[in-house]
Amino acid sequence: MSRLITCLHCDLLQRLSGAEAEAGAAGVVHCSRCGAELLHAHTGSADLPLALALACIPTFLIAVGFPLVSMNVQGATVATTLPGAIVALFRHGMAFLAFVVFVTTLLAPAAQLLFLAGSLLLIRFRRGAPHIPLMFRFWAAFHEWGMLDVLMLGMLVALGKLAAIAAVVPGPALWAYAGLLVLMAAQRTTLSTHDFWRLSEGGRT
Amino acid sequence: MSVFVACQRCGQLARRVATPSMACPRCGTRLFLRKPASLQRTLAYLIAAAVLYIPANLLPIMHTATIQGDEDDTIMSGVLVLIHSGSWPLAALVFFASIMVPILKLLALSVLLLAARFRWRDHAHALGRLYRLVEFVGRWSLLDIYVLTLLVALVQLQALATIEPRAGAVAFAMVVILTILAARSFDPRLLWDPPPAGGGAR
Repeated sequence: MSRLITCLHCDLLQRLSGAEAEAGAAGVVHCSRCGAELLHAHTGSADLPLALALACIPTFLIAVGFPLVSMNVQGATVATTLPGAIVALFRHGMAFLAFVVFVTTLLAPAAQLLFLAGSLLLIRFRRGAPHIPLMFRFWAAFHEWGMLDVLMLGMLVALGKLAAIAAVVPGPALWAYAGLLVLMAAQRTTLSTHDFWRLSEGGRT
Repeated sequence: MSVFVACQRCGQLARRVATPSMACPRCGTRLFLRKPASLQRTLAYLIAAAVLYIPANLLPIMHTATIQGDEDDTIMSGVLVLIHSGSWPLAALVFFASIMVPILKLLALSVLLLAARFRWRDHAHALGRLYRLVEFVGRWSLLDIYVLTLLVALVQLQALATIEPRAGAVAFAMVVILTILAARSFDPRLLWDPPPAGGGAR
């Protein structure tokens, strides 16, 4: 069995043969011309990626709803959540910055998780097949703009800067973000675009 | 030219039909042989980013008011403050994400544009890797914006110290967003296209 595949980076049409061509076989194939990843396939059902995507949702809610950091200065405690920090930016007249931070750290990650979990649920329970393409497109579009990994690093830098002027205590949300990043990374390693469509087309194994 | 079009979003291969607009049979994304007006769009975003790069680095991104006095910080002086306070790893991280990455991105995208425009096919392999690198590291430049967001929210201690955002941060965020848009509108497949005689799709 063989199949045709095009490299998305250099547009070379190539024929996969042998083991890689089998639907459901695991492996990574690189483009024979430019070396970009051509195909990344995992075996397995939708269960694991679905479970991980679902686990991300409550973790994300904790990360958004609880304080990130609190600071003790002369007996007074100051704390902020991420939405609180965005509102503070807005109040300082920085509507554009507030919008950028809102989209990249709240809207895009939330939408990405919901569309991914939603479409995997539909796939897992073999329902709503006509809605899957649209949900996939939304997931892919929001996926590009979610920047929680950068935010995490930014929080650590901010902690480092603040530690110089006051006693800083990491809040529950910081731990939730750390957990969320691990869950999202795990989810990415169990599901590629290729797997997504293999599973949605009936999950042949 | 080719009979097949690959969907840039889901990878599905579709047989090309002679209609003006074509959608992916699997995920419904619009299909193009090459991203439309790729070089023009990339160039426009790149010029805008390069212009804003100047205020982004010269204007202060934040203002700190303490009992000892007021201070304006640019991106570079923020790095220097980190070095003076002895946080070498953090200083290196911020220097890399906020100073190195944006300038390298502007340079790399310019090289890619020239290469695609003048069909430097001999170097397509290396340039393709450069493009994937630009795509991967570009987002990390927003780091300073997130740091600023948290500092502004937390350091509001009335009499003791306050931190406020300044215009430089807006310019800097725009540079990052514009370079991400430039990288997105660039079509790496143009690097591999044969010289115009072969019927280009530029």
